[in-house]
Amino acid sequence: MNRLWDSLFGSAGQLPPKLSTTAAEVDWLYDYIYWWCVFFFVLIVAVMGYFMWRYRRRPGHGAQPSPSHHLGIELVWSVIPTILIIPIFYWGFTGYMDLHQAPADCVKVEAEASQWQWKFRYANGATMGNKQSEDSPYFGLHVAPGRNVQIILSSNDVLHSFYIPNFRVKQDVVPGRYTSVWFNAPFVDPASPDFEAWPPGAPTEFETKNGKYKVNAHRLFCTEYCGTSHSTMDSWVFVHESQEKLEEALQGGQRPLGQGHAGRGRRRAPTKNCASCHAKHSRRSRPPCSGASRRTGASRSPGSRTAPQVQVTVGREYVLQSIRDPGSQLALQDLSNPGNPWANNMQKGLYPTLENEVYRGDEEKFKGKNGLDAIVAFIQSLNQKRDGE
Amino acid sequence: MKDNYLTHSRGFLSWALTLDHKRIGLMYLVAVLSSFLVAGVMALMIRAEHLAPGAELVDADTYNRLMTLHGAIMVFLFIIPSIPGALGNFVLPIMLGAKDVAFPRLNLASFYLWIIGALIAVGSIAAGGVDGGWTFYTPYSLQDGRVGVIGMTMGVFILGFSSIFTGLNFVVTIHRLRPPGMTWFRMPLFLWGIYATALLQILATPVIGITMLLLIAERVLGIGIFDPALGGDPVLFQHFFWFYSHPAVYIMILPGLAIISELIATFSHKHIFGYSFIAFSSVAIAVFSFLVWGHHMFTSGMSPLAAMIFSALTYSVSIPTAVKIFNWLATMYKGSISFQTPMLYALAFIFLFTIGGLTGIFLGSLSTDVHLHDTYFVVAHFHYVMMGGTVIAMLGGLHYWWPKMTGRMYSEFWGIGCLLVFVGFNLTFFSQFLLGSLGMPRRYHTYAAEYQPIHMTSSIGSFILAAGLFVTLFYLVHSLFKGKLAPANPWGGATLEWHCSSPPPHDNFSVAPTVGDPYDYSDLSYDPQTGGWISKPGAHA
Amino acid sequence: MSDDHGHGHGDPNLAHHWDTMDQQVHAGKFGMWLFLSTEVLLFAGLFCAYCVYRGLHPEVFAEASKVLDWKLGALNTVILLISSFTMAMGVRAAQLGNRSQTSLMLVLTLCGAAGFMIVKGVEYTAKFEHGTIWAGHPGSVTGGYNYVPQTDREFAFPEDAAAAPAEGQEAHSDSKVAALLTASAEPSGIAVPAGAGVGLVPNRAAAPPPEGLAHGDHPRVTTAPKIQNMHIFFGIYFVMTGTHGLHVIIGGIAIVWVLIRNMRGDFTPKYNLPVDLVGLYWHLVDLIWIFLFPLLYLIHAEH
Ligand code: HEA
Ligand code: HEA
Ligand code: CUA
Ligand SMILES: [Cu+2]
Repeated sequence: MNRLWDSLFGSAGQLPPKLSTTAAEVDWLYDYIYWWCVFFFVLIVAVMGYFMWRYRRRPGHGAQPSPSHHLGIELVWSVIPTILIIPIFYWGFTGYMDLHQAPADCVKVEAEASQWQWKFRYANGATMGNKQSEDSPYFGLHVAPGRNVQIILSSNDVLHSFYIPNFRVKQDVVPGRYTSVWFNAPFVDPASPDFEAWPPGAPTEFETKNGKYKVNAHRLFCTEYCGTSHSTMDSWVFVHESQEKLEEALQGGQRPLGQGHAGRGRRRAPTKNCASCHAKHSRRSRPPCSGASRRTGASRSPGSRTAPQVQVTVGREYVLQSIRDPGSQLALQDLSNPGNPWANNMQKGLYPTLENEVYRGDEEKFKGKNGLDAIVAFIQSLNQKRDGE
Repeated sequence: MKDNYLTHSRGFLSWALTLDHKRIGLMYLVAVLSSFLVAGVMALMIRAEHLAPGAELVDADTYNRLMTLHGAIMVFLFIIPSIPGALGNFVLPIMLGAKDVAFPRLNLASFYLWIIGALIAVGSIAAGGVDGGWTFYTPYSLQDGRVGVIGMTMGVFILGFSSIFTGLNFVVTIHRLRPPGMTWFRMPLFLWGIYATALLQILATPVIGITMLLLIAERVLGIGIFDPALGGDPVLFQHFFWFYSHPAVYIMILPGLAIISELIATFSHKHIFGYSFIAFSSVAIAVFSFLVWGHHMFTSGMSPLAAMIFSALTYSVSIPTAVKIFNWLATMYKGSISFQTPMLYALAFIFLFTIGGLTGIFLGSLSTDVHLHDTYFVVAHFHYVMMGGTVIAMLGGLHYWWPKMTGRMYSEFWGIGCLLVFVGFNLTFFSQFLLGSLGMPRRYHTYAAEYQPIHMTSSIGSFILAAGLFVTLFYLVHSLFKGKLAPANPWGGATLEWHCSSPPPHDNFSVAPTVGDPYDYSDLSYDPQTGGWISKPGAHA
Repeated sequence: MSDDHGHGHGDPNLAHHWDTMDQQVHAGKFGMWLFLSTEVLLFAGLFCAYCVYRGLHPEVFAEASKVLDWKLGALNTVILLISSFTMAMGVRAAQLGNRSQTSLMLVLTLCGAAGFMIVKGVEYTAKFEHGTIWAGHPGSVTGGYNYVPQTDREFAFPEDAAAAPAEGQEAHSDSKVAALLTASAEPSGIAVPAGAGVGLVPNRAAAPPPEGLAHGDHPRVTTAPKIQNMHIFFGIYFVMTGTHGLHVIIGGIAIVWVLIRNMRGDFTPKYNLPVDLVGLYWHLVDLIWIFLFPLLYLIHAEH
């Protein structure tokens, strides 16, 4: 009830506390619009109410003659709102530019969205999930106070959106491109009288094996519909007391995620052609290429369809070989299965070799453990359910 | 009863194959109200789920489908065809003084397209349901397992053609079937509103048609236009979608605004103020509405330049809307205002729509929209304009023309149901502004605990709202059997439909009507004997 | 047909709510024009998509367009132009009440429609055989898509540097971050030029396959175009020509319908509105092709 009453008075009761440097500007405009809206609403409803009472139909009272048009008054009530909206538009735009244009000295953190989780990757390679898990005992987005932080957003599958109500920032995460958002959040000691929290019970401590650390916690939501668990794709932003405390808190605790071969490969694969078929959510059918399953292979030498039957292990060699010569590792049962369109096309040689792509593209980058091997590991790591094995 | 359009011929086929615009209008009415009921019940389930933060009533997938179907049915099956299809079809030719719409068979075809489209769209439930929201954003709508999307988009495609044909019919009717004397500026404002709407239907709907086709092609064939995995651009889809769907929100509201103009004038018993401004503001809204679609995409990663332009243009729509509201108030000035049920709805409309429209300003302003986008603030905004605006106006119009359509009067006493609707509505959706401002995202199955009290208020409100609507449905149906016979002109309206009997005869006018000023009430007087208004003898030629 | 109520007009083709035939005919044409405008808008959507992608990938469009056989396209243009002419003749014959000539002209127009579709069929078949089709089709060889966000892929954390601390590393040192970032390629930060299009890597016209590795012995592979993102063009190509083809078929059906009515003798010099309307529709179908042809076939034509 109290909240309801407060909320009559603009942003103070309606919006969460302003907990980033840009929030105040947004709230100010919000209030400005709000009071003009109140003004017009009260004006309209009051006039309406008055007329309702004053001119109610009753015996002895009929409509009185009055003009049915008046150019002057029409112009007045068209022009006044027109003038009023100009500053609203202008401040909205300048505020937007401030939210949009990140300062040059931003600390960058990568936030990678996928159904239905966030992965925060810090500059030193440490990675954390959005929720506590075995993989990621520490979680959330940890930032130092008073620093300009830019979050680089990318998506592995569908649209998501990165939203921190307390900071008034929001940005869609679009597959196939990078977007970004920035903020600068202060730290206020939870014990101090200036401390404001939203939500009211937000955590004020973050515990690691190094101890308990004071934080200001802010909710982080996914605000673009992304499927079944869209509503649980949330997390916390932890603003630490200081840069030092932040480092101390997380010291030595977090094994970087996705640092194995497969993880690197996943990040590589999109730069090569692999992901068109092998991405987790690709709708195209693809040959099996994971696990230790043995398949009866029919090596296709150019020009001959009846290749010798050999046993091929679907392993590293198999994948490597398939990258060089896509049709070379086809199994007979693939060819005879009409549900495998890729098999026939490979047979016809319709799949281009990726030799050129993978090996020649950036020789340097794709050597050794950072390159091809990683891609192979990535491809092998894929869930092959949909091939109906 | 005299021979009228209801009794003119009998039997199922005389309805199913009718070319009479009045019967088609009535069939539309039943059809769209049924959709409203279905989607409304889904809304109640949504609200019931939100009584508590966790997963209470339904699981996540079910919730997401409910939410999507609620939105899609409300928009595509109910609100877009509601006023034009049902009330417009019934009233437009009579108001105009014509015997029918220009192409009666096309009119019937529109209705059956609606039926087919509706069946296919709702049939997508059988194909596993649809989730993802009524906006079908790619690439989510392209993912594995979302087969229902094909049915739903196919349905929307067909419904689109239904809408196009209705609009086309109305435009030609208004251009070509005006009887002598019915000049453009003697047309009742309802016709202006429907005309502007029809233009939007014709010019905007084809784009949703091609968008839906492309989406189907993308889904079924993988054409590569919207799917980022194939090199397509998901944001392009949003542009396509909103290029239609923003004008579509004015397809929804313009007829509502048009009804209110009629109601305010009739029940204030006074000439409408600023006729030409109201008429042209409808057209202006229609024109501007094509230029603002980008305001749904301020956070999509659009260029700031584009965002700036769309934001500026967004406000341009507010001005003609404001003009209408102020003109209504001026019409009430020195009137003789009676508070019969249709007028209660009209007054409720002004109250609610003003809130809905004004909150659009928060969303049109760039920096505030960043915070409010995709939160319950948006949900509250569009329910205020769609439910508090269009649906309330439609209910007002329904009560207004009910005696004309059915020949029966409903009980004014139960018109109080309107109050229940008004209170329940505000409770339901005003609280959602608060939720949104506080950051509660939309399309959430479960939510954070701090939002619970407000969610609960909203849910309770929605049950009151539903009670009001059910009461309304009940007394309206009741009046069909027990209502008093309606006089030709129960409210003292001056437009042409009040010149013919209630219900109108098959051919609308046995004698060609004389066309006068549609808002000249001076020669009408109340006749207590019939309970209706009649022209003062000799006052009119 | 029109409702049951009798009216005194006499002409059975005049519906009850019109006063004169003239009024009805004008309304019919007006309605048709409005309908054609919706068709134009429908294609306008496609043209917009075309412009967007051509703007983003000019080189893809220029290259891929060469794969189309402009001679076949031109042939089709001629066919449609002629059929438009015969259609106009048919309308005129109907207005003059010359039934047999109307039928003849309508049949000729139909032949045009069929011819167009046959040529289109030939073209489509070739595309499918070569796999120069849209990306999602399993037979697509151009589907080698590219899915790279538009900023430098190395923008954030150079792989090796990131990998270096490996297990048990020191996490989180923002000062290190800063150092890393200045070291990496993008000093201006990652201020993504928002809205600057889809994140596709600009097309690198493929280098010739290295000797020994190319599938030289597989003719299909060598004839298949070696350019990335070609499927984007072909996606658009198939959607546009496909939608247009659908309209040709619908137009054909409409012509058959008026042809039958004409042979039945429904039309008189006073009442021939359907022929007229179908004629209008056919001209529109023709007109759209006139736009499609240069946009798809003649980009960057080599002489
Ligand atoms: C009937 C339908 C309808 C109507 C009429 C409107 C009217 C308006 N809408 Fe609304 N809108 C929707 C239906 C509608 N909307 C829907 C369905 C969505 C969400 C879709 C989805 O995402 O699912 C939406 C979303 C939406 C957004 C996107 C929000 C987001 O997702 O981030 C925006 C942003 O600009 C917006 C703005 C406006 C504006 C400025 C008006 C204006 O036309 C309002 C004009 C009226 C007034 C302003 C009041 C009267 C004027 C005065 C009293 C004068 C004084 C005024 C001033 C000085 C300014 N709307
Ligand atoms: C016309 C449009 C319309 C209407 C009228 C409504 C009506 C209602 N809506 Fe809906 N809503 C949408 C359009 C509409 N909605 C859209 C487009 C969305 C977005 C979906 C998306 O995100 O994709 C949405 C989303 C939406 C949400 C957000 C879901 C989410 O984001 O997770 C919620 C939550 O509370 C909600 C609630 C309600 C409620 C309680 C009503 C109530 O007002 C309903 C009351 C109605 C009834 C109870 C039925 C009673 C009817 C009869 C008895 C018959 C009538 C006959 C006579 C009176 C004669 N709606
Ligand atoms: Cu991710 Cu919603
Ligand atoms: Cu809009």
